[in-house]
Amino acid sequence: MNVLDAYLERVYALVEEMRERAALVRVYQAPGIPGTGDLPGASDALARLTEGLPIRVGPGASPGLILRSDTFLELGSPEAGSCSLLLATDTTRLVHDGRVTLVGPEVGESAGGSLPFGQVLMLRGAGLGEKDLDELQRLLVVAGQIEGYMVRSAPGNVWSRVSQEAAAKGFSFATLGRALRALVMSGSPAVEAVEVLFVTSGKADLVPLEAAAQQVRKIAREGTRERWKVKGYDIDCANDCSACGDKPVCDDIRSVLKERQHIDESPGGTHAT
Amino acid sequence: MSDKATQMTMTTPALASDAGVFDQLNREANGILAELLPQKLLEAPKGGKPFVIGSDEVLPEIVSAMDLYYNILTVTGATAAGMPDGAQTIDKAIEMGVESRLCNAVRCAMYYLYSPLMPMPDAIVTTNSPCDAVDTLGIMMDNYKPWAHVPKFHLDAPHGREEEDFVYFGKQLKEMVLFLEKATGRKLDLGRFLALCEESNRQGALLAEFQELKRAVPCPVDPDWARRGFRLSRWIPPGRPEVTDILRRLVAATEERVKAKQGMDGVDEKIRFLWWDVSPVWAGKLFPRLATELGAVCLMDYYSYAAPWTVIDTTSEESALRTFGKRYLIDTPMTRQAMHGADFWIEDALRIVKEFRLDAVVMPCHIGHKDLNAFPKIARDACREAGIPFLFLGCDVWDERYMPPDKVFETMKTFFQSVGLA
Repeated sequence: MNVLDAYLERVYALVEEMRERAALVRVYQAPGIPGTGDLPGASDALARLTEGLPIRVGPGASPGLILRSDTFLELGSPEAGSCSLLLATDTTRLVHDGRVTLVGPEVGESAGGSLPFGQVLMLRGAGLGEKDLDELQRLLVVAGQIEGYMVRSAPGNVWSRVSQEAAAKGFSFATLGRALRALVMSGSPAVEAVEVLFVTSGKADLVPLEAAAQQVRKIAREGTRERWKVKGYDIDCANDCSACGDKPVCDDIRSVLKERQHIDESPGGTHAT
Repeated sequence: MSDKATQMTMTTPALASDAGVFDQLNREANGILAELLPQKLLEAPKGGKPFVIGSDEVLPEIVSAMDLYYNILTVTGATAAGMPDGAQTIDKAIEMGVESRLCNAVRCAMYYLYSPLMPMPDAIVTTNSPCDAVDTLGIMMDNYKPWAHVPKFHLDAPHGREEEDFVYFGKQLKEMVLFLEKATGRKLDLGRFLALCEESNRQGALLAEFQELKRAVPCPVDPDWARRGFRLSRWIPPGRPEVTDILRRLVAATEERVKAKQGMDGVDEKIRFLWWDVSPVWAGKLFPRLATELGAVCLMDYYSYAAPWTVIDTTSEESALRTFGKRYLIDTPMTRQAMHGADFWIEDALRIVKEFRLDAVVMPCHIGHKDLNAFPKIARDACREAGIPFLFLGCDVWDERYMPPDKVFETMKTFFQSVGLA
């Protein structure tokens, strides 16, 4: 069993909890894509995966910049709240390919607004797991690859904008989910299935997701460390005090200095010169 | 110091597109940034406020809310290195006998520390961040004999970047506040502090907005405005509405140029590159030349990339300090790049290249940045895997004599030509 499977199950449980709290939950299903794996190139796969979408997806699809004045909706601003989570597994039953679940308002229902934004991408593929997360994360750097959608350059979580033009064309979370799925599947042949969850219902609904995301980041970091080690690099060094063999020496020096300072500050102290 | 010298010190010479409204903004920005000049440090006691000196920037909102005069000695040293007589200051500092590989900005800071003109502080705040050199400066300040009786506080910045790290650092900031209250007799005015945080958040939002505008191809204005904006917002005592106003007008004027699809006047932009280190004090002799002669624009460096993205949560003092901890540990330039692992550093570079449509990564590898010593091969390999042309330099961003700007220009020109960009 993959170490991330527990987090996938946690995500499904959270969606059910939100549904029980009467949050508006919508489920979209992307059309099937039989035979994509047999296509000769990534661009062909991308074309098949994005067929019928109201916007273009792929390199050069957009200039990558949406001005404030051209913005229809902002998602995940620091004030509104944001959380992003990427999970990967090789357990078939845990990822429903093409399914996009939205908890909360749709793009078209939020003109001129700013919504909290949770984005969870669940990927499945043979042998996929925590060791692959950082490389897969690079595929999610949208840059100019989704027309009418800009993820701002603030690193960490997803803070993004949907343009007025894209909204007028019918850009929705189903569109975004399919676009992200297309970028990931065309970018990595190892990914066989992608399921997406978006949460726009409220900042409070992001809290349990963020708790899971924090744990997954730690797991992912272990995977990253291992992957770099294979390449011959140790990307971490034990440079905090608790890991240093000389800590007792430093502690002694600190206690002497403290004592010295205490003497200096006491009445009649020397005030070292 | 003459106006010309101030101009040279405070900003790189503006490129031609910065005419009209940008000239005005430049004048206003330089007027405010002049407060960072080293002689201001020597005038500190004249202000009548308790004088606190720190090794790093830490939290300007706290010291401002306590009405303290705060000097960041590293910034003073870095500014001194960029002055017309910067080389002499470096040489004088070397004569004092500092180890040869210490960062020259810190050497200059040390020169000021040992200067007989240096005023006596009322309190000292040091930190282990962002790099070994600033940590060393803190140790020098802590052990400077004439200051032995001055109350001292040392912040321990963790190398992690998770919630527990922000909470840990936030608690230390609270302890720092209590220390400063005891050492200076000034209380933290919570209302004023939170009001300053709100203004700081407004400035952060504008800096983040300006950042996005640099995605436009061609780049609408001198990208170095991001760095100037950062210095205005974070190094000058914060909460000043005139700074917010400068940033607001900067964003509005830049948006107009984006809409008009205007690039920098006199620059036929062909190459966009990442200078993945601190922008050199001799940038004025390099970047404008690269832009005008080769069409090569430096889109980003450490200080023009990071912005205070983290919004300070002004719900309470505790929440404000915790979010400050986050802002400090992962948003502050140099701290972001020097305090965390190689993977974090290189992932930032790769993401910037993709988001800002850059053509190449230049790793200046400032000789004083020992935290980068292990990175060149990692960076080269990662860029190679991603298909991004990569150049390693090995210069001194504070002292042009180590690798003169003309030499850097020729090396970069050859590099751009050899990878087919020029």
